[in-house]
Amino acid sequence: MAKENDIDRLFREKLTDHTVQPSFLAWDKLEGRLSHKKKGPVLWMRIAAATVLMGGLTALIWVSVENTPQELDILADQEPVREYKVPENPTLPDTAPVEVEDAVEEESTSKAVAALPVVKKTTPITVAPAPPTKAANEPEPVAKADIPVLELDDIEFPPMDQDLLMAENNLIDPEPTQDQEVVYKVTIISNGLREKPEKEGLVGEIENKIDKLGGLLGKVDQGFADLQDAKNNLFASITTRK
Amino acid sequence: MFIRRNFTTEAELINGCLRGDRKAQQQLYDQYCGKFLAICLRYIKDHDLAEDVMIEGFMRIFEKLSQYENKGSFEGWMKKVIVREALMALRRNKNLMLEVALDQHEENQIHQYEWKGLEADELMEMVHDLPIGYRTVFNLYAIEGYAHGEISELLGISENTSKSQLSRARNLLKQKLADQHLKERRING
Repeated sequence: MAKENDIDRLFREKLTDHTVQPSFLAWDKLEGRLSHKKKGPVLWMRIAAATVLMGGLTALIWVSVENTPQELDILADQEPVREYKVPENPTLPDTAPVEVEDAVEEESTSKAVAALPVVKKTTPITVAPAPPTKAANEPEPVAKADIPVLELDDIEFPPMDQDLLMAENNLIDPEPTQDQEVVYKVTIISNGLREKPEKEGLVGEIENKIDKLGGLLGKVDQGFADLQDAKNNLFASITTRK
Repeated sequence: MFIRRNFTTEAELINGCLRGDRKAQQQLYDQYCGKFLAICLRYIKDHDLAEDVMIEGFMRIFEKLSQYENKGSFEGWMKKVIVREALMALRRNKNLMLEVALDQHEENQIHQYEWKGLEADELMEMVHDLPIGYRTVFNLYAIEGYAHGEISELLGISENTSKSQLSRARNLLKQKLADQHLKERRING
């Protein structure tokens, strides 16, 4: 054991204070790493600040963009409500106030879902028996008072009408000139629906192009076939000559 | 001379480094880089890799300086950080742990680095020639003064393996010393 300890001691004494000078680049490396570490958080802060700024700007732009069309929507929504409030007043004196009000409310809610102004024009096209009476109700409040109670049962079907109405909006778009209020509504609906025709147009265009290409390819095929025929004829003529 | 600020006491130096003062950091580096590179070289033969480990060790020292609680010597604390860094490097390179194969085929490399004292140089070479597992345990136990329990924890081996590795390292070193002695005698006639 004593010898083993001697070995340990020998190495410890000689090697504990042993020094090896590193290359000159070592300090530069270390300094570079130290300064990099110090600049790190600053860079992170900069990046974070930049992202926050960008987010804020985009949010502001979004809000400003969203606000302008929302004003139009509000105008479109508020105006029809005024329209339906007017017929409510004449019904009040007609002894069936509660039921009629309910009917009007139902009408308004169902129409509110399917673009209120359109209902007036589409009802004649849908050929449903109830809608024309509704249209008649609005201008002639006195006749309504008796009828709406019966119509309540008919109005239960409207989900079908709503789908039809939505599909037929295109037809009604070009006739908004009756009321100024209606004009606003029509533009909103048309904004939503304009995309579809564009897409259809694109598809149609692409189909046309494909057809044209197909025609061209057919011509090329024909030309190729003609060439082959010509070649065959040529070879045939050559071989027969020989 | 007045422009250059020197940190005369260790406490000043530590405070300077804690503040992130580049001059303090450089002074600490200049003071200890030789010693620490020698430590790294005892564990890692490759000079460039050892130097990288030393740089990494200094980084770790500067990072953890706030954790140093003036208990015991500052140099001892730093040496522990450096040794730990060297062991981490060995583990990362998967060279560590009981690699018993003797690498005696290695030719004696001529080091162009500045060595202080030929004797130490010779001993370093002997340590370098040890298989990596023996070398690590011998370094930790004989030179750094770690106990077998600590070594087993540091290297993830049992105490018995640590002891056996140490005794094998000692035997090999004894043999090398004897060979060296014989060589010197022959040269001296």
